[in-house]
Amino acid sequence: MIEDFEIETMIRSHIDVRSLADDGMSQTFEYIAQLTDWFSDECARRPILSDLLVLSVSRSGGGASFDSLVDCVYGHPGPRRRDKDFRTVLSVVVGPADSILARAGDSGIDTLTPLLVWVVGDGSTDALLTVHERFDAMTRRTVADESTSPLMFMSTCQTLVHQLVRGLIRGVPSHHDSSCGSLVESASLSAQMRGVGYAVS
Amino acid sequence: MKVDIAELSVLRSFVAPDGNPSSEVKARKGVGRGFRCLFREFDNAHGGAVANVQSLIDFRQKLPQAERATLDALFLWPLALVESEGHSVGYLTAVVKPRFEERVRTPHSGEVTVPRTLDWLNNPDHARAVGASVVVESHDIILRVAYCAQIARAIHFVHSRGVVFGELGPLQVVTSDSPIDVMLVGTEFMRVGGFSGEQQRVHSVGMCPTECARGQTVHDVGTDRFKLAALFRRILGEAEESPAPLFSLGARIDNEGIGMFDRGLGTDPHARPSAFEWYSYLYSQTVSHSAPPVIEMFEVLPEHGLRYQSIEVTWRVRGHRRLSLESPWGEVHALGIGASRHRLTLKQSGQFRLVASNGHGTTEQSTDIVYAFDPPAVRFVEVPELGDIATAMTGLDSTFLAEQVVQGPEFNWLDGNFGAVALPELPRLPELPQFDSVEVPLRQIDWEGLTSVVDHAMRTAEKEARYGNAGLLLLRRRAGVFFSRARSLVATVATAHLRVRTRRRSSRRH
Repeated sequence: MIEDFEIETMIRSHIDVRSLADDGMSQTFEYIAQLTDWFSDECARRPILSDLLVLSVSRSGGGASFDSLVDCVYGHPGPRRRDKDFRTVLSVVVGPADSILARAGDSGIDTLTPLLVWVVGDGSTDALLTVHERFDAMTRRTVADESTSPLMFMSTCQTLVHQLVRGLIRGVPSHHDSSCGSLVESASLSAQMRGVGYAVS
Repeated sequence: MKVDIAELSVLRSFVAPDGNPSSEVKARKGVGRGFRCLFREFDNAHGGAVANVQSLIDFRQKLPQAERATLDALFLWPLALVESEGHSVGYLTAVVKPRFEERVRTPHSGEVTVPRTLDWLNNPDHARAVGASVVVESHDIILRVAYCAQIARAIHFVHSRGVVFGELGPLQVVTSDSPIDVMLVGTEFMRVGGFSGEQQRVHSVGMCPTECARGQTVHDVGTDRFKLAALFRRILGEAEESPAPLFSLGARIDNEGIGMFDRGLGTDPHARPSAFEWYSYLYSQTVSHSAPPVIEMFEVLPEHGLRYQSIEVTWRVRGHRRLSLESPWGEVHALGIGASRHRLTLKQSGQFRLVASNGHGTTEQSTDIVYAFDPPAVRFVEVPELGDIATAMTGLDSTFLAEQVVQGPEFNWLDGNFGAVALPELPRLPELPQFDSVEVPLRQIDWEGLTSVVDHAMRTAEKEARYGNAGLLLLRRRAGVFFSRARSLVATVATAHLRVRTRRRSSRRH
């Protein structure tokens, strides 16, 4: 006689990355390419990741350019159906200040999801507070990165993903809003951001 | 033992499978079994965590040499606390041996070396796609059972010494294929018996026991046992997307194993199989799969039956990977490995045959002959004509019948039939003296004898009437006997009466 029991259901956590840049903006493209390459390698190195996390990248104007459930599937021929439940736990916006300001209104980002805005290019520091105020997310960090290297962006994203996965593995409920929110506004993340301006609220 | 962080030389830094930042370091002589150690920083270096790791270090130190060697072979156990400016910041363990590591291809970073955690075992397609050296196919249940047995052995080792493992999950176990071996690496949440420090909620994803579903921080042997069953469930091939908790396992393990999963994943912590029970079961499975299957019991209940009756075939088999049941009428039923009974309709007499096989051979067993009897059939019912039982029907009380018969008091059909029935022809009555005449005093009649004679005659008549016309002759004969006996009785009475009158007359003369 089989007892009526239930196994805890895994709900994937989703990181929603938006590239709000004009087409041909090679600098933003490099940021996104490095992020997706790194995440693909992570998925290859850690089979459990595909059960825990989904990373999607979409460009301004719509259309997904990367979906880890499709692009980082190893061992399953063809795209996997994206039919499992997942919950967006973090939104990331990348782009130059003018593009972000122009498209922030119709970005469709959930105001309840913690948000990381990465402003790249010249003049990003000047526009930092303006961009920060433009979004309504309750927990958000806006970073002005005038360097031409995506290194800090990558290290920040890697820290967030590692912390998130660590919480998931240890059983911290990923869908708990304060989980990623506390990561975004954490002092340890601020400590990594030497040489750049940022705003947290 | 405590080590200052300044004494450590970092060889390389990496992120452990569970997400913890870790470093491979060179430590001073005397820590661990060599110079190389693993330095794990505390996630949250609060007093409870430090005291807990210290209790684990003390526990290891107190073990006898042989047991400590076993502990070190099975666990990445804390060896020493690491301090920085007088504060504990982490601890040292041994390093993971190369045989527990895997070298895989990544799309952009080339080949990398990673710990071979259980998620590699659980995703053979992934392992094959990235060129892993060890790919355990999902259908290779024997090898998977062997890995499970090793994990159960390790957990039994700590449970039997009063230690709760705590964070048991797919990333806390690394595997080796040569020899088949495991090592448990997530050790900082283990609890030595009696330690009463602060408890953390340490349940890996998909491993949350039912008693912790609402955020409770239960952390005991019962939760370990739940996680053990949950871990084995995935290793033995139950997919995350399964429609039911044990959907695929029914075709992979036997009924005893299904029962253990049933208890292990259930809500009663005391009913969950211990690590030792798991080890015993899994080890016996490994052994039994090294030889042809053994059919311990095979029977049909009931042993015989009516044709088209439902019967149940039951069996107990060990070490099988395939199982089929052949019926006397030629049907072959492929059975699940976890099945232990099968119901079917008995169509024909004969023997049932159970065929069990694995990679080492096939075993068969037949039942005794099961007979299928045809059920008894009523071929003809003779209802006597109503006229033949008319005399019996005269005794019917229609009022009584009205109460007994469901159809109610309508007996018109019965009355009508009475009218149509011709009474049987009775024999003519001889001339007899009247009983109530002055000549025959009623008190001198033997009423009991007369009644018994009449009863006997009536019973006989009734019986004969039931058996047709032949009885009529007998009825006449019996009636003749009756009258002859009655005549004899009356004659006796009359003679006695005559003697009395004669005696009275003679006495008057005198």
